[in-house]
Amino acid sequence: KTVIKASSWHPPKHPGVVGGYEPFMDYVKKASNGDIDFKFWSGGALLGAKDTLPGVENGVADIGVLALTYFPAEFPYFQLISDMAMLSSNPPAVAGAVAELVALDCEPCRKDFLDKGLVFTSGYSTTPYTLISKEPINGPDDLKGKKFRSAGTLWDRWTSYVGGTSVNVSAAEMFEALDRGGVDVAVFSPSALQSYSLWDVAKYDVMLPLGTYAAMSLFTMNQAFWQDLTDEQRRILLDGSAVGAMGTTFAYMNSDKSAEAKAKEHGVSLVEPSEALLQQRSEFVEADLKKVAEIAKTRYHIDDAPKWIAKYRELLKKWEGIVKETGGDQAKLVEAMQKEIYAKIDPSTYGM
Amino acid sequence: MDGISLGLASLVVVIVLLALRIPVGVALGGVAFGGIWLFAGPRAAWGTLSQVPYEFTAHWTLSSIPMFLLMGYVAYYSRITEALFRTAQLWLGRLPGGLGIASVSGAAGFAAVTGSSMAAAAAMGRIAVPEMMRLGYNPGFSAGIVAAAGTIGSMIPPSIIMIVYGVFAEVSIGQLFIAGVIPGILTAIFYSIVIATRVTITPSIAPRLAQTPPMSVRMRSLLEIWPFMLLVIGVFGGLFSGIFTPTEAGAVGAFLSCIIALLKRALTWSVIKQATVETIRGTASIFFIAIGAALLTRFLAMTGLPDFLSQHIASMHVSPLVLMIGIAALYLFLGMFLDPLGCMLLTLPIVLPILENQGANLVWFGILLVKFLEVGLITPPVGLNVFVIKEILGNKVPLSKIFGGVTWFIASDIVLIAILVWWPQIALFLPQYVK
Amino acid sequence: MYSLIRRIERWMIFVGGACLVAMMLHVSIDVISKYVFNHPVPLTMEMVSYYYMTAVAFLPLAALERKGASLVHVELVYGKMSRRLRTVVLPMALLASAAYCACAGYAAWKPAVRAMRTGTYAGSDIIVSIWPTRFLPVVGFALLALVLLAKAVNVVRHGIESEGEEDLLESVREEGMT
Ligand code: NA
Ligand code: NA
Repeated sequence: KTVIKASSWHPPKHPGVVGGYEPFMDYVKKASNGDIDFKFWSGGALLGAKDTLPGVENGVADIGVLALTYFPAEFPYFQLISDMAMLSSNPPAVAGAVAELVALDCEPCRKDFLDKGLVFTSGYSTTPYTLISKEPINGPDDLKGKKFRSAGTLWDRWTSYVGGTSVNVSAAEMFEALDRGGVDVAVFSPSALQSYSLWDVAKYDVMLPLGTYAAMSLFTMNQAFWQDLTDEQRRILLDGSAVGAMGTTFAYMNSDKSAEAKAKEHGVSLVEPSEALLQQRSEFVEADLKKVAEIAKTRYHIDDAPKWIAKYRELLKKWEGIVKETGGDQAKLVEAMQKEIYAKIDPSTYGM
Repeated sequence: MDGISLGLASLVVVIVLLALRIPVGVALGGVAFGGIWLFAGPRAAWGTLSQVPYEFTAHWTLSSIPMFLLMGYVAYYSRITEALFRTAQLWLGRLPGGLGIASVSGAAGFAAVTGSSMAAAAAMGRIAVPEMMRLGYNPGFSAGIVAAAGTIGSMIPPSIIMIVYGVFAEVSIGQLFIAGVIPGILTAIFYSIVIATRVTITPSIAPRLAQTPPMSVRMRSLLEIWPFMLLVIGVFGGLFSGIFTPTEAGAVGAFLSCIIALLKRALTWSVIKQATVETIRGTASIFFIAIGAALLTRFLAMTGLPDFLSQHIASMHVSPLVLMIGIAALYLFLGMFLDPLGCMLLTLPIVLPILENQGANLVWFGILLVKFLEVGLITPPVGLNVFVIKEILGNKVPLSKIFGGVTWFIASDIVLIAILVWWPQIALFLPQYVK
Repeated sequence: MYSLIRRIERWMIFVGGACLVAMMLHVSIDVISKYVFNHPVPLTMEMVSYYYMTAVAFLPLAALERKGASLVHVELVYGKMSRRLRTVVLPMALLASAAYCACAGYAAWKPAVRAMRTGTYAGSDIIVSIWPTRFLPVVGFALLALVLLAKAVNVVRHGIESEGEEDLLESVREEGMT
């Protein structure tokens, strides 16, 4: 009997646990007929967000969650992926496209993991970031001079494009900062209204879709542990990764819905973005995409960035199609991931 | 050996090592390193020891600890605080333990500025303890007062622990903040009662003024505290108007105290040097211990001991009251050894579902939890607030005396916990009306 | 050898102190600049977390064990031991501490070298290399290990009184009697 040590720094009610690890573990236990069992730590009890990387490497845990923008030098390709976040507002499509890009196509992406003794199986996608604000934002003029809680490099570029200021505020202090005016706008998905209690301090959530965060490795495997498994066990973990990836993504969508449903009673108005805001956003995406390849070359040392950008856009289109075909059904999308990605992987060679 | 026995045995070893004069940080970290080695092998042991010290230290929110320490040292060496305590003595000197009560009130004030209890203790330590001792207070008594009073830091908002709990339990952070105000003030009142009682029983630990000084003398003394008032107004004003965050408040406070010292013409090279050197030594010393505590937390997480204990309590089919006593006992026990955040992360995934099943109010439990964790900051053998004060005072007061000094406050905290359990309304009253 | 350690230690204190002052100024100027010019000072959070905090916490470690000063420890039991027992316990405690610090310093070396090879950095618009800070725990723990070792040797050679903790022990004993 194999007992897997799994560690997530997400809080116990986070989509990554409720929709990700828990269904993943259930699936694996069931598919292996109880041959595989888990010891699971959530909330960073075993490994925090930053030391999950060395922790999984050293076998403190066998499986762990990595937010790859925390490690820009270690995972350059995922910085490129993160820089393309505004290309889609379709979370399941993004989750599928990123997983397929990395697991099937982008050999150098996988190499960044293998070099460290790690194996990538799947990520997930958050829901689109929006503008959680104290003041109404009706048009581009309302963005000028505002202080935005920084959500990452891409959003910092957007902030300076719209004439705002990025302020670095830790997640722990976001509530305080928004409450007292240290920041005017938090760039986050609507679920943060509930999970970070932002609806106690914000008045508006402007649904300008600013892209999803998908630079994740949800089930990062320790390579030595991975190699010790049988082919069948690896197959089960791969298929389980699809369950967790879509599960987390849908849990994000559900927590958005639940936050949006309760927003009004907390005094937060959900505002549809004006045409002018959407127009400005498209102009930014177009202008920024030219910069992204340049940044990839100079900062991330990725010479063939245009190739990966094109490949990713192609996969996005494919997965947006799949989402449409399946009618956005979670179970069908899990099957699609298993069929389109993991069935094409040979468990006796992948990550070995 | 299975994880549970190994975890329990390691706690015994910690106590034995402490008795053998092994430094606290070494005892905690060393036992953790050895324990991980035994439990998970050398690779995991070396891996953990190679990461935890750095990752623990390289942390933005923790920067408020050195910054508030620096503020305290600059204020002390440039004598910004001396007049304050002279004035407090003139006004409150007739009260039993008047200065001690003044220190508790000061700590409650700092609690409204800092998000962390250790930062609150760091700020008050240098300001209050030497001044109390200078006016004849017993060293262990005065050090104990400030170590305990620092724990108000996480109860009165802002509070990092409440934010983490709020995100964990999906409870409104705003409600938690409001709910903490009355229990925080109650803690300060309880501590003041403890001080007055102790001084009434043993008058020698805190000399009282023989007679009330004339009004004119007292009024004149008020004029001398302007430098301190300037500091307070600057830090409070800036924080509440959103100019800076609680973490930034430490740096701004230190900067302001330098400016005020400059205005007082008291910012000499020797003040700067002494304040700086003592601050970084204090910081290194506190982090050395906190790193050990973080390592021990990791080790105990691996062994599954906290899970085991929590699950045991969960599986007891008892009344909600007995359950709450069990949970309190769990936290008081784990709090003896673990740092507050680690203690919370290890237990909440199991404790929360139990409480939810029972339909307990999670805002109320959040307040209780903060109280449990805060008591852990002053209980032996690992009481981080006690270590902060010890470091600030150096060789002047032995650790055992400070632990002795906080005993009474721990007792009063337990009484307050009982009251909060019995009358949840104390915590839930304000959140109901303030929205 | 011993005086060389002490000289290095003074430098560590100097650099640590400079980083402390830099932390205060960097954050304060950032606060002012955000408020007055609506423009933050770049890299404040990164410099504070990675550079200033690690410098302030790790570089002064060796200075915690000077003559007459020591890492926070519990005196109660030790103070009540017989003198003979203390002559055994003290050097053992110092050696155990030296061993722990040596392990911590050694353990930090490998990730430091790796971070250097990878060239780890932080920041967004403007970035800063953070791998150099990975060497700070190596330096801090190693120096502290050396100082503890030197102290242990000193105690064995010249007796436990050479550490000058007697004042404190007196007060512990008095406490025990009353
Ligand atoms: Na506070
Ligand atoms: Na404790």
